[in-house]
Amino acid sequence: MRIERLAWRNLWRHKKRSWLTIGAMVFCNTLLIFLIGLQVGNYRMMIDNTLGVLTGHLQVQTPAYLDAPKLRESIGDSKDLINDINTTLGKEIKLTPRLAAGALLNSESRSFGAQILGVEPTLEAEFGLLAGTISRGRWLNTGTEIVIGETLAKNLQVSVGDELTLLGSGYDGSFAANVLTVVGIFQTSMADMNRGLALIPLEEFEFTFTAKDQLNVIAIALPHFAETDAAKERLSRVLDAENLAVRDWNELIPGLRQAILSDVISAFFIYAVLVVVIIFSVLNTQLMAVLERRREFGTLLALGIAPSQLGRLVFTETVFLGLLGLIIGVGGGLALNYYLSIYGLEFEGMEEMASKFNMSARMYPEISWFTTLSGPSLVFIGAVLASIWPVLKARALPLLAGRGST
Amino acid sequence: MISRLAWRNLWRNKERSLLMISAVAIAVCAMLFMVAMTRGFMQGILDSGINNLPGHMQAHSPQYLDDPSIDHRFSTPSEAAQSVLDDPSVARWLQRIKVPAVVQSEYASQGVTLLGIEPEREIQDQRLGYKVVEGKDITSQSNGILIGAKLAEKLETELGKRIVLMTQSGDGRLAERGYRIVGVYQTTFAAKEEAEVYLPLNQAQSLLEVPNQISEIALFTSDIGELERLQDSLQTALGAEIEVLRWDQIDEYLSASMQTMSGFVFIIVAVVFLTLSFALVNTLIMAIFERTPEIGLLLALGLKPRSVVAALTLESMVMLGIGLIVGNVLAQGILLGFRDGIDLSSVAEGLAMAGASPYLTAQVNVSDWLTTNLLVLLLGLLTSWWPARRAARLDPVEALQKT
Amino acid sequence: MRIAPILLLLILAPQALAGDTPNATDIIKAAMEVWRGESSNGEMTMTIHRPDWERSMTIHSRTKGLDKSFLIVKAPKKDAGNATLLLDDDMWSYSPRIKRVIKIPSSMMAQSWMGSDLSNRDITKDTGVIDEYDHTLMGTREENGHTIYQIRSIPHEDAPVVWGQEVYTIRDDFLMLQQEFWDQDNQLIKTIRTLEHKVISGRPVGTRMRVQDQNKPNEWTELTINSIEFEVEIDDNIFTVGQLRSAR
Repeated sequence: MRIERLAWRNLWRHKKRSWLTIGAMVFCNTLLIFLIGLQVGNYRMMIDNTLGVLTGHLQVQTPAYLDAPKLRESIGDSKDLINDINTTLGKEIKLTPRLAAGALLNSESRSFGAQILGVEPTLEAEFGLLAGTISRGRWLNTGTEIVIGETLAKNLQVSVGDELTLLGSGYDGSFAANVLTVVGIFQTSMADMNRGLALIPLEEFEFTFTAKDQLNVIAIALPHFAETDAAKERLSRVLDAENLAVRDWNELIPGLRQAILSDVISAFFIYAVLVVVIIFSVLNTQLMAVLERRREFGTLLALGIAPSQLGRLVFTETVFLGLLGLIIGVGGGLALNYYLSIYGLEFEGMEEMASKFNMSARMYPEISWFTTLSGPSLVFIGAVLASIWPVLKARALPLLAGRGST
Repeated sequence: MISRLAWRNLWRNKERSLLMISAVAIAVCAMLFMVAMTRGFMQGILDSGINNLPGHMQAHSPQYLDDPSIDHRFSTPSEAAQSVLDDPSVARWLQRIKVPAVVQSEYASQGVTLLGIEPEREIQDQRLGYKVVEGKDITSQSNGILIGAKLAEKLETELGKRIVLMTQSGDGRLAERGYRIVGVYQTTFAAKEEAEVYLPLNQAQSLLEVPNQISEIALFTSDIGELERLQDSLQTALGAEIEVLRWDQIDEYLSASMQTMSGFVFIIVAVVFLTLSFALVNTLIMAIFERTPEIGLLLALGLKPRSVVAALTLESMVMLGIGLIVGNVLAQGILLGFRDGIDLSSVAEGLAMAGASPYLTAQVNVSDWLTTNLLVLLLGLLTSWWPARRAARLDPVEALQKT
Repeated sequence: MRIAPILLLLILAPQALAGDTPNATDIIKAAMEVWRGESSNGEMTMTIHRPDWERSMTIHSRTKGLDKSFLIVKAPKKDAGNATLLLDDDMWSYSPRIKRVIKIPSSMMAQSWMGSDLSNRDITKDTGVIDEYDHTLMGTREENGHTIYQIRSIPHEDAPVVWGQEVYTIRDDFLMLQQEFWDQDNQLIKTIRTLEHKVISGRPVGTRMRVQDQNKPNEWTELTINSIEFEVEIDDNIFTVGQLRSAR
């Protein structure tokens, strides 16, 4: 008990020194919270931007569909299935049913193969970002309408209002053919979509491809991507009986998780450098302090304090400094992140990119236990570990230190 | 006398001096390392992007980029164009056929991109993960086709077997031929590995019945500043029916990303520098404050405040200097150790998706280093001089009593 | 010329009698000509069978020479009116629902023709492809009074053929009994077998043929010839894109 009080009082007897050390840690902690928060927030943005266009966080398909997507791989009628999903996952999710097939699109002068998606226009617009990337014309309504990507429109040499004929193979192998009007042209950030994707109303798809009461995919969007694993498990248990597979976004877009991991690793280097330097600085400062306080320590020793208790004193002082650095740093970092989570952070050039590709123009840090405490905890632990050397030094001080020069 | 005082002070308290020097060295080393890694990372993404396009600049028939079919082709470069391509600032250039095709095996068929290339011009950067894992790389004499491992898997075929290539010929008819797989390659970009198949240029031209014609010319320059001039000369030499574009015009996403990243990175580096500086300042200021009693003694002994300040500042600067040198040497050493880049191939696929190579390399920029060292020097000067000045202003008696 | 196959028979038969085995390439050529004829006009039913469904279509066909074909679906009603024109290596398709003629691009040539086990390319290939192989006679056997020839055809190095080899079983009257497709690892992958045959106008004709994937015994496509006439007069005009539009 005495040691703690002494330690605390010591800190404030050397105000400047203490504040400088604390200051460095606070600065570092705030920075770490800000950077990590921004990084995780960025991942959320990356994931949302990629999955939000079309994929969703989960998809219900037949087990064979993932490796060999064919129109005939149907999950059957939607009504009961949608009910089951809603019951299992709750009301906060969004879902949209789809049919998919490859077909030939023909304009007056050109022919191009494309992936045709049959979607429910209203559900799809609420579900994903694709409807929002319409750059010319409008989104689907009902009837013989089609929306295509910008590059596909250019290749087919059509514009809004032009007619396209569709030729393909139906669900039962029969001819699938129809004449559709281009009502909208979209432009996403993904070149493949712009070049090879076309969407028509689900009803029209069913008619064209003779696929009534069939579905290939139900795409599900969760409130937060972190819920994916839990949701997948719950849903799989329910749907396993019906021989349906629940695929998560890692299976649907394999490269995305890795892209994030690689970003984590690159950022890791920066954080590592920061933490190492700060800890070293604490070490350095404390070591120097021990050197400079020889007279003080000598006095204490003369008063009867054991060398081991001297060690504990230095240790406790460092712990206190670390705690203060932690608490104030967390306070500052949290405040900064909170402010930015509302107003966002903008960088030069981001607005251009955003408007072009329908991505958000600002970055928002993510506020969570992880983002707030991970960095500062490491710094704290490091600082405590760093105290070992000064502690050992303090314990090794000769009794005659009282006369040491400065 | 001041300098002698300063020097002796330095060595009187070896431990303290060593601590200070090491603090400076570590901070400086960290700053330099970080700057180099960050630059390296950004450059890596740019290099990777340029290599994937490929090239800093490309020439095509105007409709080619939207509809990359054989219909949109042009003649191999004339003499005039060749002379532009031989310009000293052009590191290398290449010409190829690049059209969509379908590849078939006994079991499956797959849409691919057929590339008719001149192998000697198309040096594949090993760093970007391209390597031939079975058979041989193609040469201009090759009598077969080079495909990706993932494609071979999808088609359930293998080295030595024949596959059929189907595509549209120059006059709009069906062109098809059987080719033996003479090589299988792997690359970090899975999408590329599945989609790209290679033939020697003359073989592709023969299949498509388009002698002496190509889909694109690409060139790499050693000096980005020359890009616009090259663009003008090449455009003139090739004529108005061919479109010559720079990489930032072709891949707007890459260009925009680079800009955004630049801004972002600058801010991060600046803030990190600030933190590191804090640590540095911390150490330096502390050193002065700890010596307040000493300063008091010197003042009491009759030394003029100005001299005291000078001595202390000099002492600090010397330690700073040594720390700087050590830090620089350390940084160089570490970077030399990482010269071949840090191997991140386990997350290579994701990096490839982000456009970076699987090797994280550092890039050492002379201006970066000078700036960093200068900043530290300036910082050091300020944080040595200011507290010294304050301490020297104290009443000697007060100063002596401080612990 | 109606004469040609007969001539061939006359030329080859004495050879057979004399104990000389005929040239493999000649046998295949003859079989192709017997199968195709100078021209033909007929009706067939194509049945596609899968584990969980089966579909039949009635198709009216007219052919001329080696590379001209005009096919039009007569039944079921949903598909009636869909027509396909094959000219050289090209394929055009007409759908009455969209009232448009579309040329099938090379990128779609590997796709299945009308959902069957034959691809678009399979349908458009003319008999000239036999020049892409080296044919050797593997053996002969006697069966029901006929000599049966078995011929192995190995594609040339750069032939646009995915198979390692094809094996033909042809009767001495040049009826194609079976065609086997082997992969490059010597596994049998696909067969086209003549299940029933008749003599029509003095010509042996396979009236029921099955295309079968060896690895999927429950999936096959069958072509049954309901009626056929050979060497009929067909105007060249029939085999034009314009005719597709007004096809009945």
